Amino acid sequence: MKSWRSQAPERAVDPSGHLEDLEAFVAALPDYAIFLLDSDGRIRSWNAGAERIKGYQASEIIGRHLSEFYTAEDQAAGRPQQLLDIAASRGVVRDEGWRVRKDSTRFWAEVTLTALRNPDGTVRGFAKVTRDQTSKRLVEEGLRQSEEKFRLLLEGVKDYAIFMLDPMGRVASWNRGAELIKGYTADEIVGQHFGRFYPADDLARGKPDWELLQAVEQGQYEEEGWRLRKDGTRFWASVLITAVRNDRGELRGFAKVTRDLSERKRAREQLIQEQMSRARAEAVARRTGMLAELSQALMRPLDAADTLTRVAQVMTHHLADYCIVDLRAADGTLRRLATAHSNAEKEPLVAELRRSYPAERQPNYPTLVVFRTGAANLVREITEEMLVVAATSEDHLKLLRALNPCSHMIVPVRANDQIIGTLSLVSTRRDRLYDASDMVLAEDVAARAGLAIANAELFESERRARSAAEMLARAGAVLSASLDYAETLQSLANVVCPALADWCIIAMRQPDGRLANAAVAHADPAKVKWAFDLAERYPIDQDAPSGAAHVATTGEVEVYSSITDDMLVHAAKDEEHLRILRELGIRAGICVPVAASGRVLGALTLISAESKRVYDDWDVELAKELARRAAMAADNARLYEESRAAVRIRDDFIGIASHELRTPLSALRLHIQSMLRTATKESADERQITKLQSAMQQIDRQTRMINQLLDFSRLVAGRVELTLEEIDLAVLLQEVAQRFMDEAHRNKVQLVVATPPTLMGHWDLNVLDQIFTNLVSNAVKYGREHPVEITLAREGASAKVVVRDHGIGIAPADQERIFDRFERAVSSRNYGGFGLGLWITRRGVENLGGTITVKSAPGQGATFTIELPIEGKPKP
Amino acid sequence: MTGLPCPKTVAIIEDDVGIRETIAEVLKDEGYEVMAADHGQDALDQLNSRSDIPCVILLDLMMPVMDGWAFREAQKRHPTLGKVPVIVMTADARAKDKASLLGAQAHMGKPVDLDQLLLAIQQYC
Repeated sequence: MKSWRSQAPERAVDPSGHLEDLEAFVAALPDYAIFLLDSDGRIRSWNAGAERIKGYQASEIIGRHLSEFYTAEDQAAGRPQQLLDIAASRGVVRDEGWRVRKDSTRFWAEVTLTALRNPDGTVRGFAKVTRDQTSKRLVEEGLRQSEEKFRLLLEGVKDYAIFMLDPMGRVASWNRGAELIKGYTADEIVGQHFGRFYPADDLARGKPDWELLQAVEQGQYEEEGWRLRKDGTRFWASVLITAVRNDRGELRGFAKVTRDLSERKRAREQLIQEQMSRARAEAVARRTGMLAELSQALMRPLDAADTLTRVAQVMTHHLADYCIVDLRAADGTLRRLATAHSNAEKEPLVAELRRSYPAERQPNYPTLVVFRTGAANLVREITEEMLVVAATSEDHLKLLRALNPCSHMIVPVRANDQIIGTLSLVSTRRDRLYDASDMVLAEDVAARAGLAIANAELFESERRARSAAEMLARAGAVLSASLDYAETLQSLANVVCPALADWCIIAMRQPDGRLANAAVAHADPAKVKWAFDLAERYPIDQDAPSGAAHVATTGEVEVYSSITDDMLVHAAKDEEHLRILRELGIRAGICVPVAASGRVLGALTLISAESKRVYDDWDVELAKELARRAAMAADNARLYEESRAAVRIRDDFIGIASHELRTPLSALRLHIQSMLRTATKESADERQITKLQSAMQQIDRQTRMINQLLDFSRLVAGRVELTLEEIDLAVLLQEVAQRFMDEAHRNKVQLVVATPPTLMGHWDLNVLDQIFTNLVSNAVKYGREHPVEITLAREGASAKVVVRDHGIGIAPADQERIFDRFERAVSSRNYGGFGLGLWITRRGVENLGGTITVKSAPGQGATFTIELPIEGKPKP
Repeated sequence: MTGLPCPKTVAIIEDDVGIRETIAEVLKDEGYEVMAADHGQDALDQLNSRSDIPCVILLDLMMPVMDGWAFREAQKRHPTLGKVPVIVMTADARAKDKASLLGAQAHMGKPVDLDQLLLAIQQYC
C-alpha cells in the first residue's frame, strides 16, 4: 500500500476520503496486479496483487520498465511498446500472453492497459491491470489442444466418414474419410441434405428422415445398409447417427459416422458362403455316404421287413440315434418290426419300448397317425412335458427318459402307392435337432426304401412266376419225355426239389386200393433211398385223419403252414419214428390231391425242412398245378398202356392172322397144283385146266396180299431188324423178275431187265426183295400189255434202280399220296389189294437209307426211281 | 400107283399139319413113301424106329420142340442119317443162304411150289 501511495506523484484532493479507500482497496487486491506506468512505460506503483503475481517487491520494481515482464521473444518483437502505443492511441488495450515472473517462471496474463491522460489529452501514464490466468489458460489450452487434436483426428480419419448434420439433416461438416468414402469434397456437400447418400428406394420410403427421427427419439440410430457414392456406386455402410444436443437439451444437429463395410461385408459374406458351402458339402457328403450305404443295403432284393430293418440300421449310423420301424401286418394294422440304436447298450431299451409299449395300443400315437394319414411328422424339439404326456405309465416315462428322445421325425413308407409302414428317426442330442431338410432326407430315404420294397415284391413275384413257369414247363417236358408212369412221376417230383420243396412225395392209389409212395424226391439222392426205406418201415397210415391218405380220400387240399413238435408227436408211430421225424426238421407242408377226370388217384406232398421256407396260397396253387400234371402223367400212362396193349393185340392178331391165313393157302395151292398136274398129265378138259390155273393165280394174289399185311404189321410194330449182308443187286433183280415172268406173260407184258453183270452192296435181303417185288408186281399189274423196263446202274455211292412201265400212269395229285398207307392211284374195284405196297416199299427204301421217287402222267406210264446207298446205311 | 417096285421114302418134317399132310398126300400121289413128322425130335424118333432110310428130307426150320437147325445138328451126327440130303423149306428170302449155312443140298421158298418141289426131290430119289 505504501508503495502504491508513495509512488503516486500526483495526488488528487480527496476531501471525502473515497480515494483513500480506493487506494487501500487496490493495494490490498490479491488477485490483480494493478500498477501505474509513466508515459514511457516505467513502473510507478505496485500493489499486493502485483507482488504476489510477479514476485517483485515494490522497491525492486518501481522505476523499472514494463518490458521486464515480457518474454525474450516478446521483447525482441517490441511487443511491450506496441501495447503501450495501442493503449496510448486507443485509450485501452487488452492482451493475453505469457509473462515472466521475477523467478523467470511464466504465467498467463490477462492484461488491461489503460492510458491515463492529462486534461490536455496528452498521455500522462498508464494503468495496468494484470490477472494471472495461468490455470484457466492451461485448461483452455488443454481444451484447445484436445479439440485441435480431435479435429485433426477427425479430419485425418480416412476410414470413417464423420460429419455433422444440422437439425434439418444438412451436412454441416465433412472429413477426409467422408470424402474418401463418399467421393464428395467438403465444398460439394456441406449444406446438402444427407438424403443424397441413400439409394432411391430408401429415399422413396423416407428412410433418411426416419433414421434421424430414431436418433432424436432413441439418442442414436445404428444400422447397416446400402449407401450411394457420388459416382452412383453402392457401398455397404455401417451407420451411427447420434443426436447432438446443447446443455439445455435443444437439438443442435447430428453426428454421423459412416463406415464402408463393403469389403468386410464381402469378406463376411464370403466367409459365410464358405462356411455354408462347407456345411453344404459336408451335408452332401454325409447324405451321399448315407445314401450310398443305403443303396448298398437296398441293392439285394429283400422283402419289406428285411429292407426296412436294414434301412433302420443305416439310419442309426447317419441320421438318427435310434430308429424304429413299423410295418403293416397282414391284417392291415401296424406292427413294430425292428429297432436299432447307435449305442448297442441302449438297444435293449428300444426293444423294450417296442415290446412293452406297442404303438397299436395308443390310437393317437404319432406313428399311427402318420400311418393313417400318410403325412410325415416332425417334432423339432421334444420337451420333458411331451414325454410326460406321451407316457402311459411311470415305467413308460422312465423308459422314455432313459432313451432321451430330443427330436424326432416319422415318415411313411409307401410301396406301390400304399402306406406299408413307418420309419421313426430319433435324435437324442440337443445339438442335433431335426429340421425340414432332415425331413426331406428322411422322406427321400423312405421313398427309396419303398421303391426297393416294391421292386423286391415285383422281383419276387416275377421270380416266383418265372420259377413256376419254368417248373411247370419242366413238368410238362417230363410228361412228354417218357410214357413210363413211375418214371414220369419220379421226374415230376425231381422237378419240384429243391426249387419248391425240400421233399416232394407223390403217393398213388394202388390196385389194392391202398395209397403208396410212387415217387419221392430230395436234392440228396441218399435221402431219397432212405425215405423209401422209411416208407417201407412206416407205410402210409390209410386211416390217418390228415395227410396224404386223407387228401387222397377227400380230395381236399391240406396246408400245414407251421408243423409243430406236437404234430410230429401225434404223427409218429413210435419213438424211433418220432426221432426220425424230428431229425428231418420239417417246417411246413402242402398236400394236394392228384385227381383226373374227377377221380382222386393219389396225393402230392411238398415238405419244407432245411430250407425253412414257408408256404402261401401261391405255392398251394403251384402244387395243385403240379398235381394236375401228375394226374395227367397217370392218365397218360393209363391211356398209353391201353393203346399199347391194343396195338400189341392188333399187331399180334395181324401177324397170327396172316400166318394162319397163309398156311391153308399154301396147302390149297399145293392141292390145286397137284390137280393141275394130274389134269395136264391126263390131258383132261382144257377148260378144267384153265379154271385150275385161274384158281392158282387167285391163290398167289391172296398170298401176296397176306404177305403185305404181314410186312405192314411188322413195320408198324417196329419189329423190322435189318440184317446187312453183301448182296449182288443185279442177281436179285433178275431173280425177282424171274418170279414175275409167268404173270407178265399172262398180262402180255414184256419184262425187260437191264443190269450190269454184278453190283455188290450191303443191304438187307428181305427188305430188298420186298421193295422190288412190290415195284415189279405193280408194273406188271398196271403195265397194260406194254413192256416193263427194269434197269440197274451204279451212280457214285448209290445203286440206282429204275422200274418203268408204260401203263395207265398216275395223276400228279396222286403221286405223293401213293406212298401213304392204304392209298392207291386206281380204284380198288379194278385193281385189288390193300394199297399198302408202295408204303411198304417206301418204308423199306428209307430203312436202307435210300430214296424213292416217281415220275408219271396219266396214260404215260410211271417211272419209279430208287437210289440205295451201296454201303447200306440204315436209317438211324 | 406108279408101279415102282420099291417106293422111295421122303421124310417131311413140318409142324403145320395142313402143309405137312398136303405135301404128304401129293407126294404119295406121285408115288413116294412119305414119313411125316411134327418136328425134329419126332422125325428122329420115327427114323430111328424105321429100318429104311429116306432118300431126301424136307425140312421146315421154325418148329416147336426141335427146330430145323437142331435137327440138322443131330442128323449130321447120326451114323446112318448123316448123309441123307436135305431140302430146306422156308418163307425167308434168305432160304438159299440158310440152306447153305445148314449144309443143306437145296432150298424151297414158301409157299411151296409143287412143280419145283417135285423137281428137287427127283434129283435125290
